[in-house]
Amino acid sequence: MSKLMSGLKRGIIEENPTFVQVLGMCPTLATTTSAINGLGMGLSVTAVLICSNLAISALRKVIPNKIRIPAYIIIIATFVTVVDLLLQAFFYDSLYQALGLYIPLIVVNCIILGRAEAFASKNDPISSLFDGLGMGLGFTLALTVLGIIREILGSGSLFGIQILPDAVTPAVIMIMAPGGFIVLGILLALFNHMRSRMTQRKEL
Amino acid sequence: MKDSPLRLGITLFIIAGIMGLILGGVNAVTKDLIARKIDEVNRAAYGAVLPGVDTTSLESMEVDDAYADRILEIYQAPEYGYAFRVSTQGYGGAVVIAVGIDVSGTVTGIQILEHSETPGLGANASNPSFTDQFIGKTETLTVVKGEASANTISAISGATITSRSVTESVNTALTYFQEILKGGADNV
Repeated sequence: MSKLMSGLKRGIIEENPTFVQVLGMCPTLATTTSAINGLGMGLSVTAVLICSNLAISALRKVIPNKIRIPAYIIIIATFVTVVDLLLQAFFYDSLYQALGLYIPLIVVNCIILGRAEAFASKNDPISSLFDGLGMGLGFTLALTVLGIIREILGSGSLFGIQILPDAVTPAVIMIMAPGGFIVLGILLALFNHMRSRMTQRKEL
Repeated sequence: MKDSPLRLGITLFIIAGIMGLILGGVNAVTKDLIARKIDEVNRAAYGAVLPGVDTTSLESMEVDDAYADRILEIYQAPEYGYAFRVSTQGYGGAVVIAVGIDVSGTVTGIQILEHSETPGLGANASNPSFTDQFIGKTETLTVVKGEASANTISAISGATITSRSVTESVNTALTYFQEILKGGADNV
């Protein structure tokens, strides 16, 4: 139980992949143009993270140190492809329509390789599974919040439902790159400010 | 000796081999299922742009070589019309649409099938408020910024390139109909 809690706390707050480790910025900026896109990408990455962390942790004593990076990449790419094929074959009408676009994008997400190298290769499978879950949920949280803000300000809608009145013209810059960077920067500052205050309070 | 290039190479080869086998296995199991699913979805899309057609009557036709780079598929519904799968470069990549044209050369409907356009801008091309404009058109169309008229299409605000791409695809289908399919004779 404590392994789960520490994995979750680490991934969502202490070492949040987006706001603390600043990993996976390309897919972060690209898929947060709407809330549902951000949520979808986050959940897909979480699924792959859990599987790859588990597999690499299970094989950590078997893979020679010098070829560990190519070995991790092969394993991660295989997982992503298998997830893609299985989704297409068995969940075409439901999950694949929602998430299918993001699956190939996961291959370029450095969070997966980052956790494999930093954690899964040095810890037992159960801890690695929870680490993957925590990191994935932290990533999903970051992407969803980012997506919600950019969608409301940039398209006037939330999860596809129009919420800004027609009279208010949305700031289209929010769904383009500059807007993405600006919102990300502000959230980064806010998140780390809250985090340092939490740590200060604990030390008192 | 344990870390010799030969041993490392062989280990990597084994890992890659096992992963390759897993991939091959999953692919073999899912290949037919996926192909069937895609065919189902396509038939549904072609049925949507040819309102009232019996989708099981749709038959694939060969595409004339000169158009093969833009028109990916043509399905014929005998006595009814044709459904085209057309691809034109948009803003973020190829935009693939389905165009339905009946035997009199009138567009019966269009549907955006694949795109990588920007959400909130080009992605709005999927809205009926944009796609419904094409219904009833018979001649080559141009994109304008204001109100649409007989042979013009009103562009989506802030997404002129996407609007042009979709219009271009419809024009390609219309041209194909007028130059090759009209008359009903089979091509040699």
